[in-house]
Amino acid sequence: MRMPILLVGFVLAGCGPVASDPVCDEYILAVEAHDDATGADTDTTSFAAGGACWDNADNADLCEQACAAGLGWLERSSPGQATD
Amino acid sequence: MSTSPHLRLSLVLALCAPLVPVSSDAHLPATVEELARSRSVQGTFVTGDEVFTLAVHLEAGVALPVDVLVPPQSRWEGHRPALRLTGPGLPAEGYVDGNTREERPVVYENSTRRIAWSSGAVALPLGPGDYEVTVWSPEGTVGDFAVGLGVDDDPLRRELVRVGALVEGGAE
Repeated sequence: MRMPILLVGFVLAGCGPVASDPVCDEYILAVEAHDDATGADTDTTSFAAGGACWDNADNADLCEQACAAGLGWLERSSPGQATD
Repeated sequence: MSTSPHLRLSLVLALCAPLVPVSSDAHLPATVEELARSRSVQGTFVTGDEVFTLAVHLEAGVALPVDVLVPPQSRWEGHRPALRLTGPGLPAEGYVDGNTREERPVVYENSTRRIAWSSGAVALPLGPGDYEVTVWSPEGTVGDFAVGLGVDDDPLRRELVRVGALVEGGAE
């Protein structure tokens, strides 16, 4: 009996909030550096802890990928501005 | 305990997914209201030489994930629409996603309860202003596609992002 309960709990966890990913923390820092360099003001609330990215596992998968690619974009488009 | 992304996706789909039928109006031009419940705007290449454009207005600067989505059906395995985003702060040629990744990630949209092949979302830091998304089919393939903007059920997107209808026309 315990196994099915554990399984249901595990699957339910996929529908609820998940922890933010370090790659998005890094992305936020890179955007802040980009903003400092360009005078822009970019809202990154979605990617921060508690943002929409971490409402569920599906959003989290999308955001982790988007943050990693976004870091690459920032590094290519503004060399020296993005964090390593 | 660690799980592979595919296993995690399967488990999530098993419980969170489709208890409602797929909308029958998926091929109609999307409106702002539709984007409010889904992060995607759907269209269809019928001849393969169409060029679609989508106007996007940002009320303020926001980091916005952008990608091109295709329903994961075997008949559309070779269907890889390309995307260009032009607007303030972007290079003259814009941001271009040729959708050439060897393995396309599979993503799941909570709001539309559909899975899709993604070109690979990239979070672009965009300033306020008017942008244009252009989508074309480099290989002339036909089939459904969608432009993905933002994250599902994101209050920030609803607040800052305004999207027009997907329009066929123009040249690439």
